[in-house]
Amino acid sequence: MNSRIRYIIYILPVPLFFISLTMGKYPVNFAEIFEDCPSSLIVWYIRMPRILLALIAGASLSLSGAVLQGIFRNPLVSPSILGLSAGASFGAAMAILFFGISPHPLAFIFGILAVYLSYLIAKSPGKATRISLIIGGIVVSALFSAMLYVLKYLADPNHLPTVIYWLMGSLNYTHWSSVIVIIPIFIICFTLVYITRWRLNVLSTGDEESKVLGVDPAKWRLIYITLSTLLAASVTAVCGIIGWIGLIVPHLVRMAFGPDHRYLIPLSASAGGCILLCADDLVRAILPYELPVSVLTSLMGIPFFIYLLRRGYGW
Amino acid sequence: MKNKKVLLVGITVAIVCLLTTTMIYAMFLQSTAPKERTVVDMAGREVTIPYEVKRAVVFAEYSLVVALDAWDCVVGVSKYAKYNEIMKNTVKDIENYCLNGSAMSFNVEEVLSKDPDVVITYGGGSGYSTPENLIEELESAGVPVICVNIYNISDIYKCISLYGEIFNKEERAEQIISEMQSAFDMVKEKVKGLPEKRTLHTWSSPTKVTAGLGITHDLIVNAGGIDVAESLQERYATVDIEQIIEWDPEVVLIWGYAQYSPEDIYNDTQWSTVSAVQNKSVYKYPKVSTWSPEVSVLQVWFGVKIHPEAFENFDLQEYADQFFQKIYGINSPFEWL
Repeated sequence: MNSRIRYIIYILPVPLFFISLTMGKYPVNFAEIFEDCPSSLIVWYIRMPRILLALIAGASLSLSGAVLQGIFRNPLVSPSILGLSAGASFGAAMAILFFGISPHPLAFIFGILAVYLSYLIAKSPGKATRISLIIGGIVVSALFSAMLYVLKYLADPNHLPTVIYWLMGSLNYTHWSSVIVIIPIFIICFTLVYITRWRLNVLSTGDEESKVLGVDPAKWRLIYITLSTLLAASVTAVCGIIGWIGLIVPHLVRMAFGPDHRYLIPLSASAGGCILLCADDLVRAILPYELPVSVLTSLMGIPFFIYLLRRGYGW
Repeated sequence: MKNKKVLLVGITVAIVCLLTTTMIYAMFLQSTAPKERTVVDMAGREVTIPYEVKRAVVFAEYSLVVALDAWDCVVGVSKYAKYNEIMKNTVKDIENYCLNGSAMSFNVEEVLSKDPDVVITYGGGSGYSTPENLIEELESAGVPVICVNIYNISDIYKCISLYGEIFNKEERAEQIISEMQSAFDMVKEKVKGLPEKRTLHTWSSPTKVTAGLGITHDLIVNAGGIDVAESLQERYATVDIEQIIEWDPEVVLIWGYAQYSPEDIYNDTQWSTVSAVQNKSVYKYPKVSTWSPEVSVLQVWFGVKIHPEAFENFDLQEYADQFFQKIYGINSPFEWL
């Protein structure tokens, strides 16, 4: 039974992809999609990149959350806890306000830089432990949030709307250029996590146990943090900050299928992609004008989290 | 001889009497001269201000004070004034007037340190407005606060009249309003009877559009356009690019402060079927404020871009220079392409 549902979730992105292609504001005539007309433009250049990006972004965020929750043995961890969101926001704001350039590269760089800083702070007493990493992340988030505020304070107010637009994560106006950048990062990181996913099971038993079982916790923690940071930073750089997917989806999967990372990793990726795609379809095709999809994912996340709390969900 | 003496004494007495009466009358006048007066601000509040405003702190529409020729009554402006092209070109050392705060947030003590007799700022509940508690703090310190709210073009006129009243420059305010109105009338006259063109105004991103509320909507309609985003009753709305393709605007006008150019839109495949791209009618205007008198030059620009055929042999730059000379006494600091 369980295994049948698992296979359904693995292949679910495929039918969702085709259903999403038919949804949208413009009445597309599918008979014309190989001709030179607005219908073909919309299907090939507008809907397809956006749908693919939704799938990959959802999968990346959720995968990155699943990995981090595994290595920190903490259900509250998501990519932003290590300072990634705050760092990326600062980078994007700096690009827009002071250099007047596209925010993507600096958001990516500062997202990674923030996580690296958290790691350095965590390592400063000797060894990066789970707790010191989380504290490092909180410190770095606070630092970049404060610096973002200073940037906003110094900036010409007429440039602020562009920053605010970016900070509210959205898949609006997606182009192939961003999808092409994000696909290889996803494939490489996903493959690496996938083939080593049994180590996450070992790491999630604790540092001492890992050592006994021959997995160096410090080394593998660093490898997994790097991979999940790359995943989340690439998504954040392209789409802005999309919260809660990285936190909720791995939980949902764990509740339904148990904490075994051999299944948790591919299932989280697939389910994350499907959930973000459905949320984005809703804002793209059904609402009269677009809410940032991040608003929707946050709204979905809150009742879910209260439910988790009430259920006394243990680790 | 004696008669002469009497005459001299008489004249002296008469002069002394006259002088005394004049002095007493003058003193009487001064004692009854009003020290204060009441104005109604744009939030509908009655505000008591000094009869002669001499030390104003202005967080909202400071360039209007320059236009009214009342800058000598200003002791402080928003920190953002130093970015404003008009302020940079009309006020010497504008930095010296800038406070560290803006309408959105300021330090009450810093404002009080300027010893203002009135503070003018944005009211209402939007992102750029002054929070209620700051207004109350200033008022409890005895400083009258005037609130300005601008949603459409008639609000700009109301704002100009209000400033005219505050700074005792009613006549100048009337002049400014009539200059503005003549620009609006000229555009309406020129585009009269022409077929309306589907027009879209895009804001901070190519898919973030200004919708049915706000000044750019008025500008499009006055210039003989149909605002394709009219049905969205918002100031701004993010829409899907598919929605724009369906609207198929014939003209796309870009906000002056946007960080993308018409070329970005021309080079974007997603826009390629849109009429405005196919007939190369995507334009971006200079970084002007839409809440100030120069909005009338922008109105003319909207007319020129939406209906170029109605403005043949019309030199917009020359028109703008003349307008800015009349309002601010400078040539247009913006290039109107």
